[in-house]
Amino acid sequence: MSEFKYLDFETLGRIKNMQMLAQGVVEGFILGLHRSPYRGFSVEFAEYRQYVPGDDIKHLDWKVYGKSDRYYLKQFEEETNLACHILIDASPSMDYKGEGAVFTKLEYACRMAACLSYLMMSQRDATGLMIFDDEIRQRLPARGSPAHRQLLLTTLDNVKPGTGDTDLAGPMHALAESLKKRGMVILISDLLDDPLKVMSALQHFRFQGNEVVVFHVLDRDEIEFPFHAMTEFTDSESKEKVLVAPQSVRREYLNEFDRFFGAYKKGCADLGADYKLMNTSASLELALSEYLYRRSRLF
Amino acid sequence: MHLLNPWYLAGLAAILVPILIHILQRDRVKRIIFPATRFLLGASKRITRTQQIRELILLILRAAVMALLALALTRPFWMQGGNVDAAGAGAPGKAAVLLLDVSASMRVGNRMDEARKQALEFLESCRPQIDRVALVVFDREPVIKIPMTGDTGQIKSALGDLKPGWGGGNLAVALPFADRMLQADEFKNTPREIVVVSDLQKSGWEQYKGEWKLSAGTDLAVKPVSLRALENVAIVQTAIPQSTVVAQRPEALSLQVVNFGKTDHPGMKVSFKANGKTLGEKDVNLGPGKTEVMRFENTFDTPGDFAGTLELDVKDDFPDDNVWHFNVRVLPRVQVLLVNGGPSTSAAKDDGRFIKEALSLPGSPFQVREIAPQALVPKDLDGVQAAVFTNVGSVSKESQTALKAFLENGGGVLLFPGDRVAPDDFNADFGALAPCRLKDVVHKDEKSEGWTLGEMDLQHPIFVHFATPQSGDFSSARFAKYYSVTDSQASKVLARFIDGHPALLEKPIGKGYTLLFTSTAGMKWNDFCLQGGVFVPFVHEALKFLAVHSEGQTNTEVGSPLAAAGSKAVLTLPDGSKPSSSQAEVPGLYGVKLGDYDGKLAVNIPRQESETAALDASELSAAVASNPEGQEKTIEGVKVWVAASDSVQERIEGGQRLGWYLLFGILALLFGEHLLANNTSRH
Repeated sequence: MSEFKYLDFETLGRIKNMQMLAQGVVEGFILGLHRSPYRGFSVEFAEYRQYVPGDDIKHLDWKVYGKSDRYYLKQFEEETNLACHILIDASPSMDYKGEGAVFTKLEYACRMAACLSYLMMSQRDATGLMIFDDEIRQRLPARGSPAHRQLLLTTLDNVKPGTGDTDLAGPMHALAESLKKRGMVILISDLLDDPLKVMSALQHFRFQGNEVVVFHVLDRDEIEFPFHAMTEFTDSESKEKVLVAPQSVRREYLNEFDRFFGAYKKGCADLGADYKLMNTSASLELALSEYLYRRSRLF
Repeated sequence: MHLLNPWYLAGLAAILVPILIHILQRDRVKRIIFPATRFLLGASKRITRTQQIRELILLILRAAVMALLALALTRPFWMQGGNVDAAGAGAPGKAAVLLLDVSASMRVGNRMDEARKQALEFLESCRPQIDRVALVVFDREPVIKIPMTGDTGQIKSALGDLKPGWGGGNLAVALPFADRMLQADEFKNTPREIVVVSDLQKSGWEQYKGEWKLSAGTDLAVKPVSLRALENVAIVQTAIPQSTVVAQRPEALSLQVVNFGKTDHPGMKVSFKANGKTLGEKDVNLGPGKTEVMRFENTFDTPGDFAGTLELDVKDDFPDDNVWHFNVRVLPRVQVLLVNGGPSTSAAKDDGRFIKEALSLPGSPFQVREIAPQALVPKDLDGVQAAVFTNVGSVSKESQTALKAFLENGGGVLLFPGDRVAPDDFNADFGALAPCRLKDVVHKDEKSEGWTLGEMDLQHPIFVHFATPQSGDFSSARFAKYYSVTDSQASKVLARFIDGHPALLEKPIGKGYTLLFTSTAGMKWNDFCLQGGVFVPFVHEALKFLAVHSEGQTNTEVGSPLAAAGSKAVLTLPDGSKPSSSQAEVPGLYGVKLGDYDGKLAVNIPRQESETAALDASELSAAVASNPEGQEKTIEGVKVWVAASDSVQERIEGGQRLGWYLLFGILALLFGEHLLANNTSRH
């Protein structure tokens, strides 16, 4: 299904089934990696290593043997055993789709999460999921089984935006407390919260030895503020209204945005967390590349 | 401030346009639920306030642009004082010329009274010491009676003393004169007006050829005074000799009578009177618009001035043109010098014989003396009125000089070349005086009978008596030879041979004339001299024409000079008083005394005044106004045409150009609006 690599966003928007989408994007991504000169990763799965006399046969994957009549060791599970936790912000602010955009931020985040989880599980990484707004709405522990993958993707299919305010820090701290072993934490959010609180939560993850990747998802409208006509803006969470001529406030807005964005970027850099600003029209494969890159640093 | 186009003020309603747009735009505000609104909250309050102020300023600027545009289109202007209506108090003083017709036709009926009334009405509308008015009267020429003054009382007083004159009206000269008066620098920024009060006779406008137009900014008000169609019969012209010589033969006095009115005049009596007696009477029937030419005869057998009148016995509106004064100066016998270049004992060969005999007939008004060409000295021309040269080819230099002076002083010369004339010599000696140069002798063919006289100028005094039937047949004369001529462009051909070549030519020199007959006076080349029925009267008329000149004028018109500059003649008016002007001001018979001479001068009214046809006021205005639009007003039953040339208001507005300044202001406002609008939308 190589054609999935070149799926444009309009086409992606029409694919409602998360599994299909993730599969298509990931496989297309992998094929692309094959052809690319970027050979930092091998997709001759590290999780399978051909049996060499002397290896412990308890890790032999008998299903693979049954299919291929060859002996392979579940190297992945043994050698990596990475637990990835995908955190998706489902606060009301994520339910915004600008003019010309294909997805809301939440839809985009879910598709990104679906692709990531598909790729992670393909890499035999255990993947967990947490959907939250001001509290945890849904949580799936990190597992690697195909059934879990199915559950995860189905859950992502059915994510709805929350109705409460945004409080990223609370659920993140709660998750951090519950993690028993270090892994990778991927936060997908618009981060429209107090940067100090969010950074504090991210620091909690880092303190525990987790790799942290922050995908800061925003709509193009939020990044560029392209409005012209007299507009009454209503905050999606606080419901505060502002009637302005956008041309007259654009400079001020962009300055505020730069401060906001800069705070997270610096904060993540200080923490050693990866930070990626993504607008909802950016390629999903970018997220997949980021995951692989980060994973390669670990092993 | 005053407005040229006040109705454009309705455009002020356009101020509502930006306001309405502003209101409508507010209703079309977009509403968006925007997650990042928090980034707007800090700045929005401050910015919104600033934005609101900017929006308000933009609204005001746009409304101001609309308002100024409407105001600019009204073309405002300032005038000193308030109301621009000339009749309103507070308006700036105007300069006006009251142009009053005092020509002879204004004597008809109560025209002058009506004119005075109209003039007074105009003066009543003027503000003393604020408006300035000049009184200009005109007949043949315009005359400033009262120069520009704020004292309208002075003009009112002058109107009371005004009487119509006797001259012919010439509005075509008077109107431009009045216009020029108002072009003085002192009136440059003043409302200007010409008020014409006249009977608007068409004859007074005939000189106007369309070359002149009323100056821009000068209004023209035409107040016609002739409201009623006139009944007028007049003697419009006469054909009466100014001078003649004593003769036994009667001469004609002709007159033309015209009925300008609509009334039929049957059995109208026309009288010829002189020296207190009625010398002739005739009846004439003259229907409306008809004309009749009549003729009387008189024998002028006594030297001196023969003065009289031709009179119409008719009752009409203008009786002054029913009388024609005339004076015929009857001169004593004309002294003629005959210079005979071809004397002979034989009549057939004598070139001067027949001339001499024609002039010496009993009762002839001529006295002739014959000399030979070689005997001619300048003194021979003293006391002579005419000189005849028969077959003379050359004269001395002194004689040439004397002849030139003789001609210039009014003498006449009649030349008959012949076989003794060498063209080169003749042209050398007489070339400057003769009507042409002699070329070659033209001979008839052997078999031909020769030429006869063909075309003649029957209007010329020499031939006028031959115009009527039975008055002589010039074709009876046969010509075997004649001279062809050249260089005759400056001369007048009075008669031609049947082949078209000139037979008789005339050239004026000074006060006199030279005549040249291109064939002989005697029998050598023709038998003209044997045709007594035409030759004798021809010679008499030719010499009368050459010899008889007025010793000054005998007949003239009102308005003409009474005497030549430097003349020592003493004149008296018909009533015996002395004239106060150098021009003839009244019709009648004036007395003229100059040394021993005691004569008369007949002065008549210009007959253009008899013509009753009047110019239409609107026609006049359309002809002269730079802007032919105008309007007809009726003031107390009198229709007055007021032309609207570039109005005073337009002129003043054009000078101030306030509208243009407003437009520049609009441009500046639009520039400011553009900058401010861009600034509010700049990223």
